Amino acid sequence: MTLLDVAETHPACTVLGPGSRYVVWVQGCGIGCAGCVSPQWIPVDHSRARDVAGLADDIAGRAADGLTISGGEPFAQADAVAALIAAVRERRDLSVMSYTGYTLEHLRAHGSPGQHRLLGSLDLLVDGPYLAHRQAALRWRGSANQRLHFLTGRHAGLRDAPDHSAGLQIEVAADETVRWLGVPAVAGFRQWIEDRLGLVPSDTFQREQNR
Amino acid sequence: MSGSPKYHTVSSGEIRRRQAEEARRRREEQRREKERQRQAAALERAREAALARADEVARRVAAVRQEASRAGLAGDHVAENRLERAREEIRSAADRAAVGAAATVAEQVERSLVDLRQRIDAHQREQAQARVEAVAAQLAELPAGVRERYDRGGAEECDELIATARRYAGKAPAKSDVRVETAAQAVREHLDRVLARRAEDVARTTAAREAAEEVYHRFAELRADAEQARVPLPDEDGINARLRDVVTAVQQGDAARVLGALPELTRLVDRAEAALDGHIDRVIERRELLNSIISALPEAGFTVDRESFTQREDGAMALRAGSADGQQFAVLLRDGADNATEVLYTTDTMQEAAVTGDGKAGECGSLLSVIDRIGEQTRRQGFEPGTVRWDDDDDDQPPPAHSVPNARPATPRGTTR
Repeated sequence: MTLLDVAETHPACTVLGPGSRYVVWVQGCGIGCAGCVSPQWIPVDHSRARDVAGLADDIAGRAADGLTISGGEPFAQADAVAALIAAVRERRDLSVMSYTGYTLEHLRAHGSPGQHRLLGSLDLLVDGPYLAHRQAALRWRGSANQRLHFLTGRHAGLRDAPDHSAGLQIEVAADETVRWLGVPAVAGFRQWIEDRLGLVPSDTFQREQNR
Repeated sequence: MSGSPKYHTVSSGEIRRRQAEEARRRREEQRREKERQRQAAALERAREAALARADEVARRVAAVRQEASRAGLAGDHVAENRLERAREEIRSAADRAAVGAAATVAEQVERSLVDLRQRIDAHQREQAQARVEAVAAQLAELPAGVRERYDRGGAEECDELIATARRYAGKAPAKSDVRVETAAQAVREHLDRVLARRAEDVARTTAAREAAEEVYHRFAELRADAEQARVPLPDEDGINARLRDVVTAVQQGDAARVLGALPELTRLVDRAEAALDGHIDRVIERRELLNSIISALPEAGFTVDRESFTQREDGAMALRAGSADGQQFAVLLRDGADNATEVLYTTDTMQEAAVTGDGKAGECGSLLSVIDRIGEQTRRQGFEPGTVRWDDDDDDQPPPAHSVPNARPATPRGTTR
């Protein structure tokens, strides 16, 4: 049984890749970009590891148009992610897109066999670390150094589409929790919205409530 | 990299909490108001239902009171008063419990109607049964045998209708009136028919009996007349047999048989009467003629033997006379042709002459002289004797002129008509 450390999932995200996509945010990142909007998913944490086969069932059953792998660093768990994609594709031929803080060239030159297999199973890849000083409103990307690679011809039609921000997907759940998905167009967005709306992460809130 | 963790809102949480509390307070207030309205509506529904129920019971009370009144029984005024008070309490009740408490009175009142209803039913049953028995008694005034004789169908119909009325009177007295009235009507019509037919029958029977008695008495008188005249009554046995049949029919009340037999019987009696009258007339005539002959015989030298007079069943009369020299003379008067009286004469001398075969004309001449003398005498008495004929072939003979047994008075003899 192959395990994948998963931080979060969402079955229908419209701002991280073409169409409505199932998104898997993996837990753990060895790069640690300054100003990362998801620092809570940087530490390696095996407490929420999930069986790849079960997760693949869920994805194949609920995804509309494709699968996006984000994190955390997907290529830090390339074997498991590649296995997940293979398992999904056994069930459905979904479009697969992934983020990585590595560059495509680095992965191709120095990547592990697992990272190569992972690259070989992707349709789209956003590569490169997030650089706060190059923050920009780009399609599916946060800083200008990051690139969108069309690794297959599945989404060739999107090559010349306008390169501007896909926006944010903000959700208020029934339990009154709030979350947002996507790549902010401006730097410091997370801090700004947390201060403005008085948001605290649910984990922190629950701990305080429990005290 | 591309998403946030889940957040809880802090700064707006207090506002939202207060808003939520206010919303909750408003919801609770609305709920209380709705509950109050619901309770009020429920109270009103309960009140309407209880009043409707009380009204229904009140209608039943009123209906039962009317039935009781018709039956001559008193209604339950206490129950009616209780029910009216309960309706007031229901109208003014502040909650459903009070409505329910007052509403139970309606149930109690309704239960109390059961006893009154049973008394009314029992009374109605008694009345219905009494009416049926009155009709039955009316029917029984005439014996069943009489009714069945004169109107069998009506008798059976009345029995069936009364039995039906009895069943209804016992089980459903309220529905028995129609049956009783039907039975009463049928009984009236049946008795009318029976009485009318019986009266008609009695009249016919009486008429038949009286007609039969008239014939009977006529015949009895004829018989007495015949007996007195010592003549037979024609067809007496046949008339007697028919008369016995008629008497039997009269005793049996069979007027039809009586009236059917009377015309023929009357005709026979009429005929017998006519025949008897003819007999009697001839008997009288013969007696007078005989008296005339008797008075003429002494002139002819004969002494009448009055002890020898006989009268036969057929009305013929015979007499003997004797002369001083011992000669016997006999005369027979009988029916001749055309109801005329025929007179036969004979003497011993003539018999003896006939036996010896000689002196016929002389003997006949002697007899003829006697007859002539008698004829003269009878002519003076108003009788016209006929021509003397000589007939030796006649079987009928006057009584023997002497006492010789079985002596047959034969030729010569004289006859006048």
